[in-house]
Amino acid sequence: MKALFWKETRENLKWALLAAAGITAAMFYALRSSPNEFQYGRETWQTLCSPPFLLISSFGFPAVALALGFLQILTELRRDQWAFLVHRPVTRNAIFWGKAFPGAALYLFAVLVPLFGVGYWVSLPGSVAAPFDWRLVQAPLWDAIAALAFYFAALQSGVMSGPWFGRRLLPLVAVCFGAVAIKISWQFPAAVTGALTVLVLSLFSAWAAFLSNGSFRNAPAWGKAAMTFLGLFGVGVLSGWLVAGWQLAFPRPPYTGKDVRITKSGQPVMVTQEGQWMKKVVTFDGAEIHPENKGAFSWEDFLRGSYLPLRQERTGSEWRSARTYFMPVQNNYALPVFWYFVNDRALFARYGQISKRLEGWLGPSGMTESPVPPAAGFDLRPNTNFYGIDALLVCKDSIWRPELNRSEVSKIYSVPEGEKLLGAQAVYEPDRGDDRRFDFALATDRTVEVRAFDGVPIFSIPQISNLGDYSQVELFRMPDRSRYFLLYIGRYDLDPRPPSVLVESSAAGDVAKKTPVPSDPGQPWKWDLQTVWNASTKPFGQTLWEQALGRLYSACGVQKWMPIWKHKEPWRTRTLQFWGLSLLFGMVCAGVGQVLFKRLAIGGRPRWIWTVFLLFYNGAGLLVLACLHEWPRKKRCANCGGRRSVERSVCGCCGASWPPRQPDGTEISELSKPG
Amino acid sequence: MAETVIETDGLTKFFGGRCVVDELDLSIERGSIFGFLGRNGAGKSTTIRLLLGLLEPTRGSSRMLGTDSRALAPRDRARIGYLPEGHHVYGWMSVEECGRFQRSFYRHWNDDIFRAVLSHFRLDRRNKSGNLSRGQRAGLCLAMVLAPEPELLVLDDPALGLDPVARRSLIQSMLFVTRKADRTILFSSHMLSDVERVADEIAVLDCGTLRAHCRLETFRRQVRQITLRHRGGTLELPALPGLLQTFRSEGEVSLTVANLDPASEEALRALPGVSFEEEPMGLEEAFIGYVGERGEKSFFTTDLKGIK
Repeated sequence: MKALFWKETRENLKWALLAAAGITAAMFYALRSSPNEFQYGRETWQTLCSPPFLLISSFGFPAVALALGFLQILTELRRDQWAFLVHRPVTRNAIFWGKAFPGAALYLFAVLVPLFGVGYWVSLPGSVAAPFDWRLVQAPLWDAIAALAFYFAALQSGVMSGPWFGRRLLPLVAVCFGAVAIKISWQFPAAVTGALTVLVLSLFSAWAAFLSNGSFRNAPAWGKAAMTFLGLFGVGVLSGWLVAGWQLAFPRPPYTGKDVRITKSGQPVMVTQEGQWMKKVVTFDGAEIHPENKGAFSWEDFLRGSYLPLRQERTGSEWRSARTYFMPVQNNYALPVFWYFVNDRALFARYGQISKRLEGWLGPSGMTESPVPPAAGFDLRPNTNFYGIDALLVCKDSIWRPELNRSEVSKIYSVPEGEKLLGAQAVYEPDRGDDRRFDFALATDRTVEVRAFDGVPIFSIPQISNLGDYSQVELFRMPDRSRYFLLYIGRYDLDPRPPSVLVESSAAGDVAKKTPVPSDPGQPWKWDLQTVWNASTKPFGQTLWEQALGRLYSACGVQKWMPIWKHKEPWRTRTLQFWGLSLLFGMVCAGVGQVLFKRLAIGGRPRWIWTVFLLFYNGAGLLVLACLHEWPRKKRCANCGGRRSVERSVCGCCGASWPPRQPDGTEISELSKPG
Repeated sequence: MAETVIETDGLTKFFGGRCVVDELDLSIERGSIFGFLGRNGAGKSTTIRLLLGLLEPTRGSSRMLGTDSRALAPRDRARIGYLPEGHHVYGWMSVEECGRFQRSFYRHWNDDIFRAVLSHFRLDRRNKSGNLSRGQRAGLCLAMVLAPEPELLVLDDPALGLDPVARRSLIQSMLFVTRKADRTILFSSHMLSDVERVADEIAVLDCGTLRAHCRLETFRRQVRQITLRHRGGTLELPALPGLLQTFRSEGEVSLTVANLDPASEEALRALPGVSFEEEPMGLEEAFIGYVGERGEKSFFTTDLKGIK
């Protein structure tokens, strides 16, 4: 084994070094290609989590893994060279690990050394004018781990026998699932579960392919299981690509929905929206209204609201974004400085644009012109995010207004004793010039208020009595400040959902009107061909996995999950109908499978296992079976005329043996075989 | 009774719809030097790979040293030396490193043999194996295969592409391993002079079918070339079982026949106005006659009329 390690390392080190050099150059290009700004959508301040950097880790790492895997296996697969290698007195296990261990190590070397090297460079003061947190490595690191599956897929694809489009292509497609899961999954546990599942399956599949000399049929049972489930992921990815292609060719109609708006004349309306088009605007009485002098309403015709949360919702973190650790707040090219809010310290950090170094910290006790942070930060509410220029900093019992151009922060509100601050946001006043904000709205558990930034109260109204029924309140103010509207949004997680309520108030805080918002019945439910197709082709096995994972995540406190028997009608019945359809299609596929089993000579216990598999994985399972299994050649039987498998000594129909060769008298057979 | 070291039973291999080895029944006894002959694409290399368990048979089975080829364990493989065609070595390794790499897989390694074969091929241990000539590469591979002193040596066309001197060196080295009587060699080759020099027994594979399996002398004896001279006109021949080729020219009919039985020979001799002559055949001629194109050919000077 040691000799194999040495050989593989020596043989492939040059490729790993080349890949490492390429990855390093690409990473530096991604970090240095655009100025370190965070305006106009540039996010290079995110360094290891910036989109161009993650582009390298998302696509570059898999490319390196694939290249190293194929270089390692294809150069060895020349017939005599491979035969010479595998005939050596060493187990197939040793040959696999002798290749896979150094190969995987070289891949990790090729991507992790540049990653941590670049990470170290970014962490050095003066490299990038932004804070650095080693947790930024997490996203590209998981990309690297997920991309390791591409390496194993390349090994498997190289070793497997058969045409390229079947059992050789499927693992390569399947491992895209892990990379995509890591890239697009908002929830970290789901992302990691997807990527690690595919990684483990690809490892076991490649291992089994080596043990069986590239044959599915001869693979050990665990290897067959790994190849089969990896194949399912492959079919899943392929069907995803097909759906994406279909939607590209035949785009869906734009999103349609209904929303409550307030016109600038103070008329509450329901707006039916189709994409960006405000298709229909009706009053709460049902009367349709039309804009003057133009074809359709636009956003400028309505008041802009301030959203105030009423409940602390558990939110997942954007684990692939640097915003989880620090936020860009403001840039000032005149000074010139960049401001960030560092979440862990709950402090503002100022970076010099020229020196690219930390210049100081801004906290509740003022500005500290030193890289050493003050001990006390802002007492933030949990799950608080700090967004944008001139935004407010909402703490547990106070609201602060940063004025970063002056390196100052001032407390503009303190919550009275016995009240609980729920949320705050600036009040938008487009009519006072270019979205400038001078006032802010806040919600406590007792009142909703509007105050000027200097703290002067402008408006106050007691909270609605049944506050627990609502998730947020949206505050609208008439341009002449004569009236206020508070739209209380009913909680989605309650069943039945409480209706939203629109409260109209005078400037003095007297409730003038309280109107329940007409509920949107949504699209009427109907069974159509697409619904039946979607329900039946989704494998029941996938549903079971989703239920199991939901339960697991729920137990870990990651997400909410409810067993089917706790679902409300009519959703419970519909879900059960969906599952029934899926199982029905599974039964049809298991029936079709019986024909394939005969053709593929699958009998006994494997036949039962495959039948159950097809029951749970219906059409996808059939595709996997057809792709992975070796299809025996058939020849016409000289005895019965039927087609018989060349792999069997006797005809499956008539039991006849293969006809003996007719001697032509030229045979020279002196050394007859004993027995 | 001698021990059988290689045995096949209805061994068959299909590549797609093409049968490359067809119902092969073969047995090779311990101590023999067995030549495996056939034209390109006859199925020799495939058979060797099937025997070594490197390919999965479509049906049938084979046994090497008493073990099913599909279940050859590392300890069985250690007893079988295999030299594939092409003489592959890792070009970036030096000769010394190649030996060290190969040695790491074997419990038993006779470095004297390794060194002896290297010196026989005049190989410098410090040379990069990628810089070696084809003959030297063959020598290095042979040294690597012989040093573990295998009981059974399987060589797949070892002389392919070698010049006569290298071929001679290879054969000498190969014979070196058979000093012990219980060593067996199976080798495939196109070089019939080499086969003639060393093989005791041969098997001839034609389009995947075993057509001859005999001692070398028997093959030479059974494939005969007979010339019948006559006075002109068309000579009517009796039906001849085992007739491989007929070549007609003016006043002469040349026949290549396998297994000519006494009655047929008598019938040929008894043809009126015909002289019966048998021409001695070397292995190469016998082989070409045996696996070459069958049927009747002719060459008459009258055919040249009109050709300037």
